Amino acid sequence: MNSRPHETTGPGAALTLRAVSHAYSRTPALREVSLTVRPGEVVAVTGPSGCGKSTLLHVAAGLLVPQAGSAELLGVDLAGLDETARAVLRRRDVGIVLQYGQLVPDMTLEDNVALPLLLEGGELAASRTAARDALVRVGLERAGQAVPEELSGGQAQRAAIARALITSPKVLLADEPVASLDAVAAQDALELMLSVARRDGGAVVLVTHDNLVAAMADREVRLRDGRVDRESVLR
Amino acid sequence: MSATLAPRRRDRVSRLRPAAVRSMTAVRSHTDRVRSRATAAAAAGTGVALLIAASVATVRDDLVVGSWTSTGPDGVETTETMVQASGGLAPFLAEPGLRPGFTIAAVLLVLPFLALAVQAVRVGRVVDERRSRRLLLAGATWADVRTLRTARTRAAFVRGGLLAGPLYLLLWLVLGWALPAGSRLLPPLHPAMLAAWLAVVGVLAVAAQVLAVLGFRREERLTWGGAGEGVPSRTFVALTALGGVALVVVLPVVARVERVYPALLVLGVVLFLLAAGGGAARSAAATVRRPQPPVGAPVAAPRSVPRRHRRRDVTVHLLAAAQRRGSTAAITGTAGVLFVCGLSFGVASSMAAQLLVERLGSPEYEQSDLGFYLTGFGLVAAVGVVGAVVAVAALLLSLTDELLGNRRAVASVAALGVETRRLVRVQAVALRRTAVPATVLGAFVAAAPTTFGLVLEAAGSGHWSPFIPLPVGVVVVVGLVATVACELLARLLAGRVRQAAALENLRVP
Repeated sequence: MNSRPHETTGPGAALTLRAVSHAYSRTPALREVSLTVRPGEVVAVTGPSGCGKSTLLHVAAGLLVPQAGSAELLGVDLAGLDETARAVLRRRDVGIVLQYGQLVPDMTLEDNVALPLLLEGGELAASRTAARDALVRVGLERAGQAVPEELSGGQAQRAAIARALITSPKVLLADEPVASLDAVAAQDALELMLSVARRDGGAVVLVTHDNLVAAMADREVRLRDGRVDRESVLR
Repeated sequence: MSATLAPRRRDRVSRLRPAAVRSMTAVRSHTDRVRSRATAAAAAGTGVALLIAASVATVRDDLVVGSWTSTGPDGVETTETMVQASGGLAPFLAEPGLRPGFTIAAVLLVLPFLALAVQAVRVGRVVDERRSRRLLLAGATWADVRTLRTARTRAAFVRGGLLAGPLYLLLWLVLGWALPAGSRLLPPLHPAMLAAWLAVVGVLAVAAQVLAVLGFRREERLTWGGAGEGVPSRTFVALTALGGVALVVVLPVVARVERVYPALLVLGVVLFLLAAGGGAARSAAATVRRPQPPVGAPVAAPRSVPRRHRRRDVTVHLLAAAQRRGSTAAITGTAGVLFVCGLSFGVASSMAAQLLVERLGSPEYEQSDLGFYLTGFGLVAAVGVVGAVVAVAALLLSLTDELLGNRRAVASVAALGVETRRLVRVQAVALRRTAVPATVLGAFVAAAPTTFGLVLEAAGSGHWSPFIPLPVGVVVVVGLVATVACELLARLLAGRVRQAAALENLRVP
């Protein structure tokens, strides 16, 4: 493992954050954080609780507009897009897995996974077929008609991963994606997510406090008190 | 690598296909089922009130009841005939002079039902917000979320509209067919009523669309249970009140509007009611926005716990106050509907007092037609019953909404060892603190002017009827009945409280 100063920009980068700062009320969450993720690269963002990992992910996904600095996703400056445009960009090119699954309650698992396709105007039957295939990949082929309330935390998380991957995203952003899974399921889910980078050439950002998960990344960016504390190339 | 599909202009509208919308809005959860049924029932009530207004407005005067000839100063004889509607209708409907009042009353009957429908649409707001947030996370635009929400509301309203036809028919059988001639309150059925029914379905579908769009506020979606959420603004209250004054008082003075004055009066009263309901909702919201003690301050019973209860079960009052702080939007909705119900009780008691003072208090009316007054009391009872039905429905909806939205909180408190009996008390106290002031205020606003008028009249004539204080007395009774109703309804829904307290609800996100 070797450490090097973090990059501040990169041509053709999948994700570029430049001097991003954000605070909740008076509590700073991010302080001038810069980060570039290239296509095909897996970056693990680590650090203690409250260091700004999730905020960084929300900024990268365009869910949160930073108070200072800029965020570029797939070459598009997110600050130049309104809410609708950010949502469209997110559903077409980005896969998101957040803590606790974030599935839509009262919708079957099949429809939950098919959602990004349906929102793009996809046919119901075709979208459901694609969703069933995605559920098979995460080992939930029998749970298609269940609603999120009927699932365990781990099952819901696997369904959220299936949903994030159904559009073959160019960027996958995941916040503690395997925290609620057992060791075997976690390994399977991670391999599935990493295939976005290893096989399809997409970029993957994993927010985690698990050293074993971080060890699977190409690069680790460690945050402390909202700043980049250390950046290490792992492979 | 770059974004392959740049967002386009047409992304401003939802791309969801109808089949996907149908599938995504299918009623699957208990919350959706409650909301859908309550909205449809309230829309059906609105539809029936509209059909009553339509049927009364189309009554024709086709029966000659008398004629007389008079000679003018120029020696010319003129014959005048007195006509009224046939069909054995009650005098309120048969006599052309009295009919507009009945029509206006029927139109105003729409208001409590519509207010209830608005409240029903908001049931499960917490669940709805969670759903919206997760849809947005999955890449939905606000246009998608709006499309789904509108489809859900429209389906319930249209179902209610379709139900209104058979319900009107049932009502007609009771009030228009079964009653003896001379006291019927609904005119004979007419083929035009079929067209009116279809029109009502259309009106309700449009109302649902408007309601869904108006109720869809991005800012609200982005805040989670904020204290100011869903509270009508001061500007809204002021503008609606001023609009009411302009239509009812100013416009008739500055312009010739005699022919359209009944319509202006209805519109003006609607604006007044909206202003008053908004004011009641703001006042209810203000009761839960109490300043919190600074960190480190001595812990005492909070100000939101009434002094008289502080020595009693403080836990119950603490939990009730906390619950109310977390559901400002639901509280304001309930307070608004109950205020309108309070108004209907006030109006009913005022009408009853006027009839009693006229009938029993004045020798001038001793020989008048008893049937006329009986029909009048029937109408009073109808207004009171509508108010009571809507009030009970509003209270039930409020309780159900609280229990659906706060399942996790209720389960957490139960897990800490608070027994179900106490949780039921919490619901009763929280409900009472919203319901009683709103209902009493509504009843007082409607009853006070009548009482004042009757007092002035009695002072002029010197005849003091014992029925003059009736409207104000009813306000006190309304307060007591509302208190008891809250207690009974909370006990009635004890099963729901037990369900909400189930440990599995700790898993609800």
